[in-house]
Order: sequence, then structure tokens, then C-alpha cells
Amino acid sequence: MFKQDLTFRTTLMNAAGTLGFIPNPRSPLDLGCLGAFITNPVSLAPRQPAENRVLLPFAGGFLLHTGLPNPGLRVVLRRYAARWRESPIPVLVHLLAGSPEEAARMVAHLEEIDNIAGVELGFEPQITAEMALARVAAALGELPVIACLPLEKAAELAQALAGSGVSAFSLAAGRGTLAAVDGRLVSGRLYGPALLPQALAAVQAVVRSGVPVIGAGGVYTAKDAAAMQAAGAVAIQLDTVLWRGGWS
Amino acid sequence: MPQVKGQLVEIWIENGALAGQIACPPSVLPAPGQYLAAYALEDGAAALAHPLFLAGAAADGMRVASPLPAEWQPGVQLALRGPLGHGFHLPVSARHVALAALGESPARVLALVGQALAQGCAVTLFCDLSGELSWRNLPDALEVSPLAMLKDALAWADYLALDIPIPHLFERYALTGLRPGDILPCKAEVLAAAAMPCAGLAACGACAVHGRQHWLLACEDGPVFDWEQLD
Repeated sequence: MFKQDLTFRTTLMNAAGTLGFIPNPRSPLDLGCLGAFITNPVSLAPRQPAENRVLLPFAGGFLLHTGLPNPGLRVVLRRYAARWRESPIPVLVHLLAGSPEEAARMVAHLEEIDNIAGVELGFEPQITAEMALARVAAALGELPVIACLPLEKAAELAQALAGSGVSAFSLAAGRGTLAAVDGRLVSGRLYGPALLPQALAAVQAVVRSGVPVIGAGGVYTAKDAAAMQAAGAVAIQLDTVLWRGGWS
Repeated sequence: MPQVKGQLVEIWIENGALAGQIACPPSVLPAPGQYLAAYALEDGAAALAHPLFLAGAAADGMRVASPLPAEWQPGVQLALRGPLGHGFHLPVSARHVALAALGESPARVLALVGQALAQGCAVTLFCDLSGELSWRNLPDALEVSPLAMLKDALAWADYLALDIPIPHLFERYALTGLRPGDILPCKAEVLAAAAMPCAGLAACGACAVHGRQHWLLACEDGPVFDWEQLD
């Protein structure tokens, strides 16, 4: 069995976690402009919402902590696999695998589904290069693998994973910490136009690995997307600009 | 769902927060408890859409519940998507209506007042707000009582609409004197107020609510729930 090629009709796609598990007809965005659809993060077992889930705005963006809730791979496949088969847009499934064994099991399930264009493998922020290599090795099979690198470790992990067989790198949302209304400190993912400079620098660093890079983070305008491409990104993931209601 | 353009035509301060009136096509007008996702077209730095809840009817649009983003000025062009979510369902048979708000503003439940009065209901608002209640177009027929009196309302109300922030949802039992599992003496609906960043597009989980059977999302399954749906 040969590994499929990873090709997109256009250079735009959504970032994992921004449009649900299937292309949503209620999206204000013309989904026809997307070259691929990335699903919400899926773990092997169900994940509950974080008890201390929160949204904290800051100038030019916001911090979001949700716990990445999802019903687990078995339920996701039962609910959405048929819709993925009918999708006019190539579907990539974003996997939250906690170990190489989990990555291998999840990919094996997905290889039995038609019309899956590939998997995007997410990592926890504290992942080491050694752990990431083991997970990528376990995930490699018939489906192309995109390694979604934590922004803060993107350059380091890109160098380590450059010869691993991944088809591309993408960038996860950066992380940060803010004080909540009650004064407690909350860590979470960062989104918004203010993240663009950090994301562009990460793209420039990851491009040096020689592996194609899908840029992401802070893209809210066509000008931002052009800057991503100038930094070396071959494609661009749109994140919370889709929640705002499209880009300008 | 298409996105349409609207305009903020007037703003005012309502209990210390910015409220206003927008002009918009009738096709996007939300019912009480539903919302619109809106952002200012000129504001390139806006990271998210803002949820706009109906506060009351207005010519060519609607009055919008506070708070509005502080940077919005009259005349600003808005991109609007909606109506989103599930709103309140005032029974046509209701004649004694209790509205209550635990959060920063009762404006979202006040959106029911016009409909309730039109069908001949006696309406009482239960809320605790510092300072004078300075709402525009508040009808004389509306009675206002402290939140502590809500317990007594269950003896006469045949419909209760409650607006309460998600972290305080369990306080609804103390407010009403009911216990989990009690049979409600009337139909009761709860607006679970929360930040809804994805506005129903992604099931992101930020507005997740403990349901009786499973987790619910305020942005999509709500923000108005039947009392019995919630844990």
C-alpha cells in the first residue's frame, strides 16, 4: 500500500478546532475557498470540558482555555465518517494522541475510512523532540501526516522531525497566561491579530527544515496571508477570524 | 447562513454599561434570548464577534442589550450573522410572568416584556441592581422586585424566565427555594450567560454547561434552556 499524496485545491484551510468536525453550512465563509477541512481535535477517549474554562480578552486577541473537549474517536467516527466521505473538500483529521500507541491505533481506524486526505498530529505544549519523533513514527502509515508544532517549540521540533517522513508542518496556537477576573492565573491558547508577528517568525524558522510549512496564527486579512506566504508558508490555516465572521 | 450588514444608530448608558439600537434587515432579528454575532467592519483589530441580544423592538431594527463594545460609536457599520441559538418560549397561555436576572443586566429577559404584556400577562422583574433602574421604554405595567422575592413568585407565576451566568447556574436553586429534582410549579427557562467565542461554529467548549444527561453548549443548544435540561 502506498502513502497518498497531500494536495490542496487552494492555499487556505481552517485550523483545527475552528469549524467543528464537518464542513458547516452555517459558516459565514464560503467553504469553497478552503483547500482542505481540518476537524476539531479528536482524542482516543472522550475529553470533558475543563472545569475552569475561560475566555480572557487582551488588546488584539484573547486567551482561551476549554480543555479541547471532544467525544472521542469512536463516537466521532460513528457521527461523522459518513459525512466526511461525502465532503467536497478534502478532510484531514486532527488527532490528540497521548502516546505512540494511541497514535497508531487512531490512524489504523482512520485508514479504513474513505476520503480522509490525511491526519494532523497535535502535540501537548511540553512535548520533547524524542516523544514527538516516536509519535510521528507510530502515526505514519497509508495516510499523509502533518505535524502540528507547538508555536513556542516549533523551530526545535521542526529540525528534529525533518527526516521523519511527515508531509508538512503546521503551527498550533501559541500559549500564554493571564489573570482572570478573580485574580487567578489561567494558561491557555492565544488567538487574534496580535499573534501574527510571533507566528510569522515561527514560519520563517520552521521553513529552514526543508519540509513544507502550513502557516497559522493571527491571520485576519489577505495582507496577513500574503505575509505568511512571503515568510515561506505553502498554505495558510485560518483560525478565529472564521469565528469573527470572515476576513477582510 | 449569510452575513448581512447593519448599523449602530444610537448608543446610551444603561446601568453603567453601553447599550444601543441597531438598524438591520428583518431576516436577522433574533427572538428574545437568541443572539446575533456581530463585528464592526472598520475594526480590523477585532479578534471576535460580539453577541448581540434583543432588548426590545425598534423601528428598522432592534434595541440591543448591554454591554456593547466600548469602541463602537453611532454610525459604525456592522457585519451580522444570525439569529443564533434557542431563545425563550413564552407560552401563549401564560398570564403571570416572572422575569429574573442574576447577572450584570436584566435587559435580555426584559425583551420578553412586550410580548407578555401584549397577551395580557402581569409581569414582574426580579433583579438586584445598584442605583436606579434606568431602562428605556420600561412600561409602567412592569413591576420590579428584589431578587430575594423570587421564591414567592413561584406561588403565582405560570412562567419564569431567568438570566444567570454559567458559573452561578446552581444558585438558581437557592434563588427559587427549589431543590435539584423538584417538580417545577410552572414552566421555567434559563438563559445560561457565557462568552460564546465560536458562536456555534465549532463546538469549542468555552460555553459548555452541565446538562442532566450530558454536556450542552450555550452557543448552540442554548443559550436558553428548559430548567430541567440543566444539572
